[in-house]
Amino acid sequence: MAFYEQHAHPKPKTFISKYIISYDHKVIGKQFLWSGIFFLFVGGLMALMIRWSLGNAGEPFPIIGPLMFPETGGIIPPDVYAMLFTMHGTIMIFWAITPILIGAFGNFCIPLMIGCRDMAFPTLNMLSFWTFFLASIFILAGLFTPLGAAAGGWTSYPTLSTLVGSPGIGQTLWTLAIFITGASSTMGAINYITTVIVLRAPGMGYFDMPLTIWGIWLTSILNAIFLPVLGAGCLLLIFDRVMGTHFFLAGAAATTGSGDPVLFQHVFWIFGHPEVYILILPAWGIVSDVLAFFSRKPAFGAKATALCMTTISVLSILVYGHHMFTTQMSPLLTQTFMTLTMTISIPSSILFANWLGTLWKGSIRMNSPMLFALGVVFVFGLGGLTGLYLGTVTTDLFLHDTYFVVGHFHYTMAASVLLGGYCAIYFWFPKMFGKMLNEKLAYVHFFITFIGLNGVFGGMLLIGYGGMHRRIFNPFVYDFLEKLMPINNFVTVSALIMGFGQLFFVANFVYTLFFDKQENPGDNPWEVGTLEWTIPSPAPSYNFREIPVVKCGPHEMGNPNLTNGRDFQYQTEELVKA
Amino acid sequence: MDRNQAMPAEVSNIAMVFTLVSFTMLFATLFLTFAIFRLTAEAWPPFGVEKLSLFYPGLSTVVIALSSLTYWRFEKSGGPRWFGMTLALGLAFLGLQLKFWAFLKTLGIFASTGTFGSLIYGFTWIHAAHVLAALALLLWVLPTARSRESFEGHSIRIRNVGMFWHFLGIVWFLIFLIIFVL
Repeated sequence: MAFYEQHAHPKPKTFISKYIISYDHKVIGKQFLWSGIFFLFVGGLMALMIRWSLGNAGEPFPIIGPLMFPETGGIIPPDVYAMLFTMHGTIMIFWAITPILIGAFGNFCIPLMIGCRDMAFPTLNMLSFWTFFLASIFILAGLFTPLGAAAGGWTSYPTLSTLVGSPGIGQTLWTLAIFITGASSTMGAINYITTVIVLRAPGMGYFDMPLTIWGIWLTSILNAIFLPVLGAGCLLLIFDRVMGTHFFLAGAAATTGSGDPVLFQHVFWIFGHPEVYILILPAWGIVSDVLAFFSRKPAFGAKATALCMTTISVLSILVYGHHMFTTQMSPLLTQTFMTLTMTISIPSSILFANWLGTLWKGSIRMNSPMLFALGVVFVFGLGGLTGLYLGTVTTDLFLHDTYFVVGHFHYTMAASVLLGGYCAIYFWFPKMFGKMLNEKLAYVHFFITFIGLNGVFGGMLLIGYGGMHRRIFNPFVYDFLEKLMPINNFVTVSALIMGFGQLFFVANFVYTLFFDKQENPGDNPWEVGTLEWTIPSPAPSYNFREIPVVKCGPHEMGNPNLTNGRDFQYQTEELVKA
Repeated sequence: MDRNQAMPAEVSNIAMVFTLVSFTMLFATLFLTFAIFRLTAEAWPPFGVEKLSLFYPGLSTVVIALSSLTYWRFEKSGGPRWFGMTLALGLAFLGLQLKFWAFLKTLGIFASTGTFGSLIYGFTWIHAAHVLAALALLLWVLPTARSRESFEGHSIRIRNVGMFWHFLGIVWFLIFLIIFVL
């Protein structure tokens, strides 16, 4: 479109301009990465506490339990349990996945992979991070209020989230924090969209962009369109809580005239279903690229993959009703939403088949990013298939609100995105920090995580099918759920194993970054042709000394006509033909 | 350091269009809320509430439309006169909103008066908050009204703030039409 050459940033001199108030997209990306990893730890700890009270009901939580709940001797009390699952969901979605996949890798990858010096609006980028930081303070502050944090679930349906269900200020802070972090994500999204439209290096058409950029770009478009919907819902909820309006109050709670609690569900899911794809699209893009890079051949049907992601983004707008089959919708509507939901399987299947096609007859290199990418292919397959049962009205009526739902969305949103995020960290670490993470530790990390998460989320599918509801504190007081106790124990043990596995990552990350004195791995340790690998590692502050001119696609590998002694070519090189 | 050096005007224009898409979705959600309450209500306005007089909302519509017009003139020719009028009309609009809320209270309509009060107050609060933000943005444009060079040097800023200002005018017109007239 209107490409222009940006001026290089002057080199920042003070500590503050270099690390705190930085306009450099790479530094902002790292700020998001650090905050995301911090919140991943907080959310993960909450998950372990939830699992502990389900697998070992009535036993004190080890080590930190007695410090946190002295009045019960370390046993997690029921009200705290509700806060834990609420804050776990909220923190993981908005404060861990969003900053890592979209904030960190969106920021880091877009300018480097499309060949420009920075985002189109560096100041907006910096503001986006600090707005996110402000929201983080609000969400964490909720934990220290007198009546505790929000406890209405991450969906915060009224009346659980109105003053009737949660009188404390924690819920108000939660709503405000979501609103502010939504504003931050919207700012980021507008920046990303504009940057991709305007600043692609000369010669780079949309289909010459790496699929990672496609994923992040589509995510940004969905973010810019649908986050304000949740924003409006949050504002109305805040009005209900603070100003005394009656948008979501009904029945005895509404003294004059009646609002509609289900309205919030509509608003929430109009945002919420695109949000699912907002979270997964960057991971899809990263995996599509990494599979091609480590199979040493062009991504199979790359154009189709990009178009499928676009189709899915469009369809994701039209299916939100499948979250609400049990809200007494008219059967005509439920059938419509079911049909539209099933339509999503078509582009998803093409996408999936393209991944397998990429692997087919590739000369696969089993490096750590590839391992994690293959992990995503497996868990996303399972997540997608279990979604069919929930998108179908008849089966959903039974499975709704059970642990089957929890297992399903953890397979798609948690497992796929977590493994996709690790894949990205292992893959771009050399470009970010100029060092390689230890491959052996990465292997150990992957296998423990993979076994652990399949135990956790597979077990959740089983107990859900057995009829256990989500969000119940100590379900084993019910006779029919008592028999599920052993599987619940199994899930908890798996969760502890998975948590243990993350220690290998932390050790690897911290040791490599701060203590390892390894040699610089060079510009291109993975032998990949996209633009970020044509510049030194770590990427210099100006990115590209000369703005590159793009002459071929992102995964030109294994071309039999190559004569330069490599099995790949850079995007800046003319495509080799026979 | 001027970070926006060499940036063509289209760039920030593209970004502004997407920004307005975001704001449109925010207000569209509010209209959805209104539509649901309005269509499921047995009577509108609900029993016990008089149909509101159109005096304050109508006057507000005239004022915000005039402010859009004066800003449009400012965008064409610059100069402190049209800009000052925009600023004054913007402030007058907010003043009228305050009067309107006071008037509602004399009628006994509060935010807690069922969905009717919730909708009227909710819409006008959110819109007024955006007008307040837009007035702050106008202060950012203020220096460009001083001289011709400054006016011509900041054409991008003037146009983008203008897009937001006109957008809020359009939103108010829809609010007037859908909430108050219909």
